Amino acid sequence: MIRCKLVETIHPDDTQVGARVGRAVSGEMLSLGRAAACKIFLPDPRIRLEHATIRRAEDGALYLEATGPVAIDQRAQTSVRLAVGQKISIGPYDFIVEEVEDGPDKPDPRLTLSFSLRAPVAGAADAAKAGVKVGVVQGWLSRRALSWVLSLVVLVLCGAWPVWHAFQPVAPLSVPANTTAAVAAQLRAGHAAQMPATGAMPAPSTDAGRMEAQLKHWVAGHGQRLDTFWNPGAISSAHQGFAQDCRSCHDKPFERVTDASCTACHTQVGDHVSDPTIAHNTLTGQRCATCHKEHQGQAGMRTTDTVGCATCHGNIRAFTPLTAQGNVSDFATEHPAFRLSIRQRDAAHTVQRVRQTPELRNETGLVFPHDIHLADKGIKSPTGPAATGGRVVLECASCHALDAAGVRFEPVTMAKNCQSCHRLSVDPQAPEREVPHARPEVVEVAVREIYASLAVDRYPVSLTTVNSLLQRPTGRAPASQSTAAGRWVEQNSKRTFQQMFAKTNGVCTTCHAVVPEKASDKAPVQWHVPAIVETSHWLPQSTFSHAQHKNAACVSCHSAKTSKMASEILIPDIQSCRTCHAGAKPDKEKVVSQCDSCHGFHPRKEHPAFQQAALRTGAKP
Amino acid sequence: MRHRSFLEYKGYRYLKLALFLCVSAIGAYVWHRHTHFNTPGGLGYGGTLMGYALGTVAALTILWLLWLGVRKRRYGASLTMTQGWLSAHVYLGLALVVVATLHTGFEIGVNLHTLAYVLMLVVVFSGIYGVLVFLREPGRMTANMGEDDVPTLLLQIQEIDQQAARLALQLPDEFNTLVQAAAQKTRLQGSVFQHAFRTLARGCPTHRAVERMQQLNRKLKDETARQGREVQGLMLARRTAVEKIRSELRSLARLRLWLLIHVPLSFALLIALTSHIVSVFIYW
Repeated sequence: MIRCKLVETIHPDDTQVGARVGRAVSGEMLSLGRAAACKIFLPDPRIRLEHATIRRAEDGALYLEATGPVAIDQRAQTSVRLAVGQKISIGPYDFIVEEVEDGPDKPDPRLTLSFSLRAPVAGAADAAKAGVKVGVVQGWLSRRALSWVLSLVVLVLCGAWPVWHAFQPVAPLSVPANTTAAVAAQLRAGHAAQMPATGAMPAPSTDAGRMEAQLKHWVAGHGQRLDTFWNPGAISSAHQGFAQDCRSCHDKPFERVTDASCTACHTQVGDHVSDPTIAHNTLTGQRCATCHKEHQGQAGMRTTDTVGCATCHGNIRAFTPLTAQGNVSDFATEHPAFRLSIRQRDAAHTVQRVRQTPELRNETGLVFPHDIHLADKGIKSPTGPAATGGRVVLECASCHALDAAGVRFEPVTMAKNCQSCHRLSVDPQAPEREVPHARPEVVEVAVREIYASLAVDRYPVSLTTVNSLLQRPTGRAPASQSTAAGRWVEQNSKRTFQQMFAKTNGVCTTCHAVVPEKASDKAPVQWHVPAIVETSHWLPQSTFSHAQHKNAACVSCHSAKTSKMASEILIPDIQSCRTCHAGAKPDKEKVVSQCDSCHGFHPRKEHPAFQQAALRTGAKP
Repeated sequence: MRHRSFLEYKGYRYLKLALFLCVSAIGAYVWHRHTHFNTPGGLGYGGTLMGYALGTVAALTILWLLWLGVRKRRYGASLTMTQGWLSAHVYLGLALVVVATLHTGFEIGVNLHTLAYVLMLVVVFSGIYGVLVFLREPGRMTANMGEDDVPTLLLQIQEIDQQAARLALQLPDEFNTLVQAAAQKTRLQGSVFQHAFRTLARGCPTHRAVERMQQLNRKLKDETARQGREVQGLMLARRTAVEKIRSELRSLARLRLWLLIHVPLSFALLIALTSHIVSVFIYW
């Protein structure tokens, strides 16, 4: 236990003579510091919480151990044995050791310290005197100033200026109603080019006027560029020519782009639904831009995907309750059988769309068994080689040739595709002599002419007078001879003509369905061959192209090898397509097929601009 | 009771709210993208119904986040705690990145819309940096200062200067010059950037005094050598105190520097956001 007597000398009002105040503290250890718990409490900011300690060492002596800066007789020390007369400086306090009683034989050492505050703290003002505020110099870098500057810059460049530009009057742009799309686009492009950025500048006479004009010119040009800074995405390639000015399409501020902006150029686009009532019931509120979204990249406006179609066609009755159409949501899972556009055998050859079924037949008036013609062993032909017994093996391409666009096939004609085998000879004696492929009355005359010419060879004597108009007959042939030749021609002509039309495998009936007609009971039979009604465009609503499918064998889709009658429809059904085509969802080893893989949204109008497309997809039936 | 930081406010209440917001926004986006989305070319954009919905949520969130600047200056009694507001500010600010990114549909270009998005990102990421600074610096400041504070250290420096001046009188002139220079030309306070980039201590007279006195002391002898060492000791103590103050001010600068980005860009974002909305509806 250290017993310490503390004598403090206080100098009130800076007087030289101080008052001495004493008190006693004791403890195993005496701490000095500004902490309230310190035995020797030194209330000054320059002193540490626990600045030093006085403790009794093992040898019984008293030691001062410093943790803060302590000077003993003006020498910095960290540990010192206390001795009488020492001057201990701790911060602004000076301690003087007046008495020490310590040693190994004294368990309770005694100590007397006198101290005084040498330099009282002047207070918080000292920190300011030192020129330091607790903080950081910010200068002009205040948050408020920066906020104002940045906000104003953004406001002017991104907000106010483009808004001002958006409300500037724009020269009305008129596109004549009958202008083609290309010309209209040029017109609009020209309109954009008239903007002051590229237009000629006016040249006023005065300097002030010129300055003003230059300023307006610059402002207009750059305002336009700032305007495009608002553009949210790349313009589609076709529209880039005139899209530098937003108002080419965006007619009025705060109003959506109207269809009129689109149809000003796109004059040839048909409506999706032609019936105005259905269109009103189903498509009200739909705009061009509902599907055709601009600012979606260079290829952006062209296509829309399946999801867009299926929103209506997935539940078509909800939109048109009376429609005969089935629901279509996906080619693989929900798509009705094809409706074939079949040309009818009526007077006007009207086209009817009929749902495809396995039983559906198409009477064309033609007798044509595909299976016999495509038999593996071949088919007999007058031009066939003797080695095969006159048989020729035919392929599809022997008769069917792709059209120029590679979409469908050229029509099959008698002269081009059939007649090399199916010769129109009338007499086995003269097979090289053929009748024309024409109406029955023409054929009848031709048959007579053939036999008449044959009669010349057969009865050369009796037919000396050939042409009574050019030369007078020198003499009459004997009636018996003349009658024989005439009768021969007459009989053969009639018999052969009859055989051609009435016999089951006659020259005509091999291919044609022939109808005998009689004006009255007694009148002679008139043969009538109805025109063959050929359907050339079975699926006009699809954009099918044979050229795209040329890696597949014909018979993998068209079951021609087993078709016995021409009335059988060889257009493959939807199941046949589905063996290769998946829907929108990817399927292993199948082609993903969206709606637009086969269908278009807008029916085409006939127009020169679409001739190229018409050539590609084929003319309408 | 353990101190709970604003990040743990009410058992991470706002972290949960932010996570809920993110998950529902992502869910809605994915659902919409796979069922209703039908733009050509598959490019996403903010103009779909879902895009407008996400954009509205994001815009309202931005306005609410900005309102913190007003709320924290209201010192009157309130039903809510500012600590809770700060907690929500941090977590909802992070969730905003997710919602706004979904609103863009991942379509980025050189335009006003992307400018607003980039400003938003910079503001949020500066805020993340600010959170990190506020988690780290106060602890450092306490460790640095220990028992002292800046006014105490300044008083200590004053005392050191007096003692050093007194001792240096008996030493060669160069000692005096060094002590005077250290006392009069040492800069403690600097700009935000001088603190942030530690350029303030360049050519510091106190540092120079310590280094130079090391050399000068070798030439001194006997009694003056002892005084020289003492003066150098005082200069060492001065250097320690000076570095402590600088470290303190550096930490204060760090606590403030990020706000110079966070706050002004927030206001720029507010203007860009307004322009973005106006532009979208002017050219609808």
